[in-house]
Formats: sequence, C-alpha cells, structure tokens
Amino acid sequence: MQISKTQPRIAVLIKQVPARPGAEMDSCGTVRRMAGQGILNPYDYAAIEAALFTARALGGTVTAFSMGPSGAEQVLLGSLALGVSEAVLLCDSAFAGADVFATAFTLSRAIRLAGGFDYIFCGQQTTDGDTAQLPFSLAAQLGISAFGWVKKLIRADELLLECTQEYSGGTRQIRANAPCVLAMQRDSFPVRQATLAQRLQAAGQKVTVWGLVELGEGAHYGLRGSPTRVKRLFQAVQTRRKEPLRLSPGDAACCICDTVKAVREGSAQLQRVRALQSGLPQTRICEVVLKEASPCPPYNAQEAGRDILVFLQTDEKGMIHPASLELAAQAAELAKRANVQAIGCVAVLAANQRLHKMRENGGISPMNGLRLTLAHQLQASGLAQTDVCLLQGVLSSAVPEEAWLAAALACCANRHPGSFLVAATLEGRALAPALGAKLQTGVTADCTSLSLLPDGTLLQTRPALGGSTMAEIVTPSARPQIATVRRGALEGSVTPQGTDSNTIFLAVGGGFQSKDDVLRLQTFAKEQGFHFGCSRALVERGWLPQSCQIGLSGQSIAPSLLLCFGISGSVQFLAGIHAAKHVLAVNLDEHAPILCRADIPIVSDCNAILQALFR
Amino acid sequence: MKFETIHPKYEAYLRDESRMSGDAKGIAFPQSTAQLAKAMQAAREKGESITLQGARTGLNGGAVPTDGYVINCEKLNKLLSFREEKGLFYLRVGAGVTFAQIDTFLNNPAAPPEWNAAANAALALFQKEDTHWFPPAPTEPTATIGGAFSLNAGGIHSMRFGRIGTAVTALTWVTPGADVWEFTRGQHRFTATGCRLPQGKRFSVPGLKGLDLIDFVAGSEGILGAAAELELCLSPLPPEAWGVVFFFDTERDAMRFAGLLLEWRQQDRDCALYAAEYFDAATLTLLRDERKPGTQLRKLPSIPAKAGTALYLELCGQQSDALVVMLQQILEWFLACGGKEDGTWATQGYEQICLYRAMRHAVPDLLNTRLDSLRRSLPELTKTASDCAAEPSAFAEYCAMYRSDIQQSGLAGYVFGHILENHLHVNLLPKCAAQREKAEALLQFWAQKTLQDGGTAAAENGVGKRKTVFTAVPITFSNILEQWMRY
Repeated sequence: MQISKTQPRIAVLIKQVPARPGAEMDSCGTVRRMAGQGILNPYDYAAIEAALFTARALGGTVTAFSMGPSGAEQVLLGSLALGVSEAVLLCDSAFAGADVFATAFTLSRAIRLAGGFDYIFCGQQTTDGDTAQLPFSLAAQLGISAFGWVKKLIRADELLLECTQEYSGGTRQIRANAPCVLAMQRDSFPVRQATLAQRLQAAGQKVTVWGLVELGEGAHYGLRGSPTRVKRLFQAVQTRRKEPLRLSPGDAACCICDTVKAVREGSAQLQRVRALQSGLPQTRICEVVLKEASPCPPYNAQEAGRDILVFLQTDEKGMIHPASLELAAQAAELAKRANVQAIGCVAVLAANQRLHKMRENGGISPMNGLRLTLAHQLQASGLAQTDVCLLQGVLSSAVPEEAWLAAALACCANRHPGSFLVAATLEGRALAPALGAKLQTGVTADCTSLSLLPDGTLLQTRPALGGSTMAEIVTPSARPQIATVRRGALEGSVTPQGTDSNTIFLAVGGGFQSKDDVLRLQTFAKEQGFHFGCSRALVERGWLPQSCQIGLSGQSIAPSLLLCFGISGSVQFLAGIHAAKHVLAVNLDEHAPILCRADIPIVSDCNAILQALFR
Repeated sequence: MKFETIHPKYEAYLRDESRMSGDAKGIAFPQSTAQLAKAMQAAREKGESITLQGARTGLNGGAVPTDGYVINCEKLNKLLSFREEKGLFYLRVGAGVTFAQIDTFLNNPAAPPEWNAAANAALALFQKEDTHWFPPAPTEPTATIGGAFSLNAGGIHSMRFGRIGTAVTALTWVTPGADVWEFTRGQHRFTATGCRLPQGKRFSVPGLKGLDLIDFVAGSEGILGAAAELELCLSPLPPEAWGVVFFFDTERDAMRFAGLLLEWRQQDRDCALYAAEYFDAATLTLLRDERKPGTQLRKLPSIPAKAGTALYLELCGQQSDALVVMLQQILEWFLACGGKEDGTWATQGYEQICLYRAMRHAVPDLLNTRLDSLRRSLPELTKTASDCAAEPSAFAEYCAMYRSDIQQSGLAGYVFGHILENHLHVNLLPKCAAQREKAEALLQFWAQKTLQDGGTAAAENGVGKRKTVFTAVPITFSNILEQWMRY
C-alpha cells in the first residue's frame, strides 16, 4: 500500500454493536443490525483515543470508518464529537451479512480508496462477535503489519510508534513502523466524554457514505463474498449429568465442605484425570527449510484433501504451548474418527538461541536436538507426523507472528490440508485470520465443538449472540477450513498432565443480591487457598474486575473442583469451564444450565448457604 | 398456606436495605393470588400483624417485621399476560416481578409458555413495534413492582411521568380481610363523599373527588392491603434521547441554572426534559473517591477536580433538530450561569445515557456500603436519610438549608436527587451515637419544615418503621396521602 511520507494519515475503524447480548438474527443466521439501538463497541473508545493521541503527536488528522446500516451513523457522529476530523460510513445492501474476511475486504477497499493510511487503529475485538480477527485479516489483505493486544502507546515519533503489547508470555515493548494496523485493548486509554458543545457541533456535521458504487465491484462483499456460512443456529442444550439435590442451606453447606475435603484428601472418586494414551506410534518429524519471505508454491484449494493440519506454537526453547498440545490430541482424535491424518506444523527460527546452544554443546546437530525435543513432547499426541519449518534468512529475523504465518503457508502448500486448526492463544488468534486472508478462506474463532463430515466439511460450533445461542459454521468451498480453539473448550478436552491439578476454584454469579456477600466469598476463597472468579454478570455490574471473568471472553479454567454459586451457566461461561474435572453448582433455579453441567447439582439459595457456610 | 418458622435460613427476611432488623413468628412465600389471600386470612385468624415484603430493597424498614408474620411476595414473579388496546400495550405481572425482569422483557420480548393465544397475538404485534419502555425507573433494578407500588416510588423520570401508580391500569388487590378485588383504572373513582368499592360497599372519605381507587391504594405501604397482580401500561420510547451532565463551581451557579430550567419547564407543557438530578459537592467527592478499577464508574471519566456541584439532565423527543435547538439554549444558560464550555459531558441514545444513569444510581449504593462499614463500630446504626418533597420553586432555599444544617451539625451529609421537584434525598452518615442523635433531630426538623410548607415528608420511600424519627410530626396515612396528592 502506498502512503504519503509527508504527513501521517491516521484512520480509526469503529463499529456499532448491540448494547446487550441477544441480538436478533434472520433465517440466514445474519445479525439484524437494524434491530434496536446500538452503542459504540466499547473497545473502540481506546482506538479513537489512540488515533487522536497519534494525530496530536505527529500532526495528522484522523478519519473514522464504520461499516453497517444507516443507524451506524450515530457512532460516527460520536467519534466526530470526540475530535475525529472526518467520518465515512460504508453502507450498502451488498455489504450485509459479511463475515470477518468479507468485512476486512470491504474496509481494505475503502482504505485504498481513501488513499491509504500510515496508522490504522481499531479495537482489539467487538463485544458482539468477540472473535478478535478483523485487525489481522485486514492487515494481511492490505499487506501491512498488524500489532494486536496493544495496551499502551508510549511515544509517537515520526513514523514509528512505541507501544506495550500483551502476548502469551506477558507484556512486551514493541516498535510499530508505518504502515500498520494497531488493535487496542479496551482499557488502554482513559475514557473521555464529549462536551455538549462538541456533541452539538457534531450533530450538524455530515457523514460521508460510500457504497458499492464508490468502492467498485469485488468478489468478497457481504454474505455472497464470505467464505464462511452459518449453517444452523440452535439453543445449547445441556444433558443433565445428575439429578439435582434439593438441600436446605445448612445441608448444602455441609455437602460443599465434604466435597472440598474429599478433593483435598485426594479422594479416589474425585481423581478423574484422564490419562494420555500411551503406546501410540511416535510422531514422524519432517523438516522443511524456508529461506525467503515467499518461498512456497501457492496453496491450491482445488488440491485440498481432508487431512487436518495443526499449528503447534513453540517458545524459544522449542517447548510446545500447552494449548497446542491439547489441540494436537483433539485433532488426532478427530482425524482418527474421520479416517484421515492429523499433521503438526511447527515453526522454528534458525536464530533460535536453543539451537545455537545445542550446537555449542556439540554431539547433536541442532535439527536432531529439536527433533528429539519435539518428538518427546508429541509422542503421546496421536499426530501422524509433524512438519518442522526451519526459518532461515529474512524470515529468521521477522517478528514471530510473521514467521509463523510464512511457516503455516508453507505447510499448507506442502500438505494441502482440508482443515487447519490453531490453538486460540493470543498469537494463534492473530495467525489464523492472517492466514485466512492470505488463502482467501474463512476462519471460525473460539470453536467449542468440531466434527469432520464424510465429505471433508469441518462443522465448527461456537457460541453466538452473546452466548445465548450456538452457531454451526461451515466453510463450503474455500480451503483450508481454519478454526481456532480455546484451551479446554472442546468436548472431551484432555487437560495436560500436571496442569491445574488438585486446585479448587470458587466462582460466583448474578444470583447474589449483595456485593458485600460476593466480596466476603472472595476473601473466604483467599483464606481457603481457592482460586476465585465470576461470571460476566458480576463484571457488568461492576462488582468484580474483568480479570476475574470466566468464560469465552474471560479465562478458561481446569481445576479439580469448581464450586459455582449463583451462576446460571450461559454457553459462554460453560465454554470456559469445560476442562473442570468436577463441578459443584448451587442455584435456586432447577432448570439453570449449570445444574445440568454439574456433577453435584444443588437446588438451594446461595445467599442463605453463604450465611450457613460462614457460621 | 402455612407459615414456616424463622429458621436461620430465613434470617435475611428479618432485615431490609434500611439496615434495621426485627423479628417474626413465621414467614410464607405465596406463589399465587389465592395463596396470598390465604396467608393473609391465616394471619388474621391468629390475630397477628402482617409485614408484606417484596425484594427488601426499601430504605425505611417497611419490610422489617416487628412481630407477627411475614408474607414475602418474591415468588409472585411471573409475567402473567399481555394485551393490546388502541395501539397501546399492557403487561400484567405478579407483584414480585422485578424492574430488571421487565427490562429484560422489553429488550427481548418473549412469551412465557402459559400465555394464551390472545396474549401471544398481542406480543407478535408488540415485536413489530418500535421500542417501548416502562418509564418509572427507581434506582434499584432488583426492587419488585409490588414493593415500588406500595411506596408509590417514582425514580428519576417522575418529573415527567409521575409515580409508578399512574402507570398501573388494573389491579388484583388483596384486602386486609383477605378479600380479592379485581379492578381497572376508571372503574372506581372517588366522588365528593367517597368511593364505591369493588365488593359494592361505600368507602366514605371526603375530599378525594376524582381520585382513582388505584391511586388511592398506591403508596399505602401495606396498610390497605397488598397488590397481588398489576397491569402496567408500556409507553413508546421517544426515538431521540440526550443525556448531559453539567458541572458547576458553586451551588449558587447550579441553583441559578436549575431556576432557568424550572421556569422553562413550567412554560412549556410538552417539555422534553425527562430528568433533572442534582449532585452536591459531597456527593461528587464520593463518586470521585469510589471510582475504583472494575466499577461501573470507571466507564466514565473522573469527575472534574474543580466541580463543586453537578446537574444531570435527560432530554427526549421525536425530532432530533428540535432537541438540538433546545440543548443550544440550555448550553447558553449554562454558560450564563458561570458554567465553562468544557464543564459538560454529553451523549446521545438510550444505551449510552445508561452510563450517566448508572452514575446517579451508584450514589445510594455507595452510601449504603459506607453505612455498612460504619455499622461495624455502631451496629444499631440504620439508614438516616430524608425523602422530603416541597414546593418545587423553593429548591434553592431547601438546598441552602440542607447544606447549612449539615455543616453546623458536623455530620457527613450528601444531597442529591430530583431538583426540579424539590425532592432531594439527603443522606447522613453519623459516626457515633451522639452524631446519630443529631442526624435524627435534623431529619425530624426537615420533615417538620417540609410539612409546614405544605410538602410531604415521605415522597417515595415510604414511612416504614422509621416513624419514630418523626414523632414530633403528625404523620398519618391520610396526611401522607393528602400531601402526596399534590404531586
């Protein structure tokens, strides 16, 4: 993308989202965005402030883009009131029903039409989709870099931004060279409200509207151009594991104490750690050496078979991320059922310190050392073979995500997989949409269930509409079918050995009427050595910080025992506790989904139990 | 309908948000109107008093039993039916339905399985309509409709829509004698000499001509019986909504500005002003101090350091342009009253203004939290807050009185609420027994002054069990009712 070097041009991408979960969908599974009033996606406030910060530092102006129905003009007017100079609404019936790839395509057309931008800011994710894919898909389609999970802008200097970025290992400082896309974390800037004078002034301004006429014809607009399709929407039904116990608060408190005691003592009934199967054939390690940025023949979707490729994220020591290991075992199981192969894909930088160390120690060649390390880790995974892409030359000095993208492209070109699975780590969630954009295929984020149909179609299920509904998504013709999977989210997930074992987690939800009771329970958990968390309801009430949230948009947990008080059990919450070995849940409503999921379901008043428990 | 003894699990039902606590011989949780009537009949036969409860969110101990039996209505929590008449929609609910439940229904209208075909047909029409709302908006979303009706609460929109009673179009009412009355608005109105009641008897009370029986029983705090079912009229939501917070350096500037707003409101009967909420300096300090990570207040910026007082306005209407013109006028008034151009926060749309409402609603919550921490060293401490409403044009005088009295007493005091109705909630937080006495004396003094000025001392929170605070004031039910009628 050509950009001007004389004056920085800055764009911010914003979106109108439903104020509450549970938006309406039409029969095609497309969100009816006209239904009800929307709000500015909460993550986008930080994007607007980041764009204005950069404009103040570098002297440029900010243009806001939004794609949506005419009602989305309201959020653009809001951005004008906050100081944005120009607002463009991408509105055309042809754009409706777009998935992430098609949305990024439309936005990329608009950005090119506007002449390109040095910095493109957006929120890390939206509260309706929660996929966090768009920044990476857009950057890949524009051919520029993407920096996700930006927590802070430290300094803007000429065409370089210094930022703090979150990654799997914590936070790190990065330098973002223009042109690039920066995806901002929700709380990365202090919130600000427009003044009345600014609002009134903005109310008199005009929003530019671009449709198909302005952007020009293209193959990837709207539903028609979206690689993915919602095949079916359905209400998640939990099969009841045990009949609920109707207990008085006193008896319920005793039951809870007994269960906790049993777990602490390592009771046999509660030791249900599913052992990884042994005796499987060892993974065959294949070597692929990549020396240049585009070393591979292009992936040809027509040649795609049915095999499953799993991206295995490694750290600098060659250790595979636990989420990737878990996914490898899942993929192997999925492949076995469908009678296809599951193949791993590992990217290793030649500049890897570990490899150098191995070389210095002599005796074993670096690749052989790595082979041994990987084989040892993967011996029980069930993967048939694993391609190790040794990245050399330019690629070895690239940022890891870009190197991984090159490796993933190479493996796809070599193997022609029908499906490509990525663990939903922060890096994996960046890699998948970028790969999807490069291969012009669909990506389904945060799947809770995967199955491979006889014709090779990957049936991908994920929560939709704020967790009230499940959506089955397919990628009918594009290949590979890319999906990301959160740790512990898939049915029958295997918790890696030694992880979260013998831990007890206490989780509270909207059933509590008093914040004080919740805080008492938090203190109680701390005293007892329990981990503590909550459902989204309490975060939205402002009673507990987002870091406590469990579920699809919070943390996934895998304790030995999970105690749930006053939690109804939305699909999104259940996705986050899938790997919990035992669940004891208390709820007044015997039909609450959490009681179906629980191994020890108790119908009782959690407020009253609390009193009894503390007595 | 049997009463259960007060097991430890029911201890919470001996308290409410007033932090008062009491005792009772037993408790019942009726699940239908018939069960409610039977429970009331049973208590009557035993010769025992009855304390009716909703969600126990009341601030004056109305739900706290002193003896006798408790009848808790929280299980009368069903959305019962739905109908449409002449383009308006009516939702019939059990008395234990909460405001949060109604909000959920309005945001995502869905029929419970027991609704009949007519209700489902009306709902199908409703789903095609533009958005509706139930305008009474008390602070606490977990409060029940029955509880709010028994106090005739209003919330921040009361200046526009009146109190909850005005939005009730039909009632199923259980009398203290356990009779069940079904009546609708307009069926039973008071004449100059009284009113014919649903069972045919005449109730002779002079001076209430024109009053509907529904309005008569609204706010009766359980004295005249209990609401079992209520039919609520849902209003179409005006498409345009603005929320603006105005910050002032001084109380004087805020009062001048509020004076201009009141004058304008009185001139224009179809005024777009839906809410006008005042925050004094202490309340703003409270909001500043409690803007902690993870709280709703974090979604808003910090309150400006120099702000001494603030006014929150909501304006709603059909025409965007008309609202903009009004707001330009209001901005001019603000600047003329010493306001600074950057001393405002403004937003558009109902979903966005919810944040500002949350700020207003956070105030009583935060004060209750502080009260709880004070109760650790002073367990007998209960809620000490006034709920007086006097002549609207006297708001500046009342504000000055509250501020001066609080300063002289040395108490921690917070003044906030419905400024243009001169209905301010003054909360006092005494730190010792001596301060508590001072606080109660002040509440009594303010109540007396308000009554002398022709106002009411219990505008929406009821009298509850805190009558002792007002011993020097001749508060009776009829007195309250008479005062209430003026508003």
